[in-house]
Amino acid sequence: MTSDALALSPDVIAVRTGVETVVWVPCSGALHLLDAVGTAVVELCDGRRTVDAVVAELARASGSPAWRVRKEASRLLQELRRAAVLVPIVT
Amino acid sequence: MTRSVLGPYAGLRWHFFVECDSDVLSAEVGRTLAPLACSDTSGSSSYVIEAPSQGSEGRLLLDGRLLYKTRKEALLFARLLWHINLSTVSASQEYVLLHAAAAERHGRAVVLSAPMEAGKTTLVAGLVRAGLGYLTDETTAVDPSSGFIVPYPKALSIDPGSWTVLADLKPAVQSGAEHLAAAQWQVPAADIRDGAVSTTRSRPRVIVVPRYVAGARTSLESLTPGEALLAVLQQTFNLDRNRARDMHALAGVLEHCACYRLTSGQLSEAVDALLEVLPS
Repeated sequence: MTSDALALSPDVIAVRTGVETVVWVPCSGALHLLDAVGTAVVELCDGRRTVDAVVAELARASGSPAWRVRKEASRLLQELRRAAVLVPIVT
Repeated sequence: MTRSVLGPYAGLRWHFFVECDSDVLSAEVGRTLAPLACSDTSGSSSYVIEAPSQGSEGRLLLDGRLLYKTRKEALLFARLLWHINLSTVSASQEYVLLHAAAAERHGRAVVLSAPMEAGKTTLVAGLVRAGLGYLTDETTAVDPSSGFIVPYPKALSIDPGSWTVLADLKPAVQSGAEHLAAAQWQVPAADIRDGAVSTTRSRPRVIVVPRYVAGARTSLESLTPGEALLAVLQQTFNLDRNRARDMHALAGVLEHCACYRLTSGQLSEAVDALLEVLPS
């Protein structure tokens, strides 16, 4: 069963440098640069937090209401899934 | 026909000799490879160049295996140099290998990381002319355990687009060998300036992503550590083979570097801009 939690794919290599993260995805050969927000999102996706929990945590950290954060966070999470950086957790 | 045996030479961990049956080719090979001369003969491979003659193609062999054949001597010479660079990278996987030029001052290196045709060789020639020690124009090897650069001081390979701005570096090839320098100049750093080849242990301190744009004003913009790491990784040889090691090693190196994107259409301005940011 697939949960609503996401985690960094075990196949990628991520290196944090300052507030940014560079991610290499071997299956595609793609290199991605995540800014501070992208870095925070990836670090929150620990395989246990649901998408709602990630959004709530981002909202709390930014001081913005969750509804405002949700759209951008959802877009970013989708992008990272499509790029095979994040993968769903199967329970 | 007698063969000259040239060497031994070393490109990082690639050790080799070159045998050649043409006096003209031998002279130019010897002149070009002189910066790679070494004393270590262990584990050396052997290139053989059989020059083209009337009715027969010339051949390039490595340890008895045919690499290339052609009726054009200049192409044999070019293929030899290309294969040396390829083998240097292939044999030296213990290092983090960047497609980058590098020069140093007092052990602090500026690394010019960019794809082909971005002006790396021209820029490093300008820096050497300005007094910096030459490390390489092609492959910057970083020891991942120490962070020091291991020099690969091959002759600078200068393309026709830079012959005007580097006219003073036109190589003095032997009479009869002009065709070997018709498509590209091979210029040992010692021909730019006495003592130009660096003998100082150096670490990267400035990372530059250069871009030549004809007529452009020179601009140097700071890169974030992430932007610099991304740019350098895109120019890392064999990243898919050495993955985590190279990424973490480079991230560690960049922690101690100032990183810039350089856009310029004027060599002297570009050199001045880099000399200002290189720590003294």
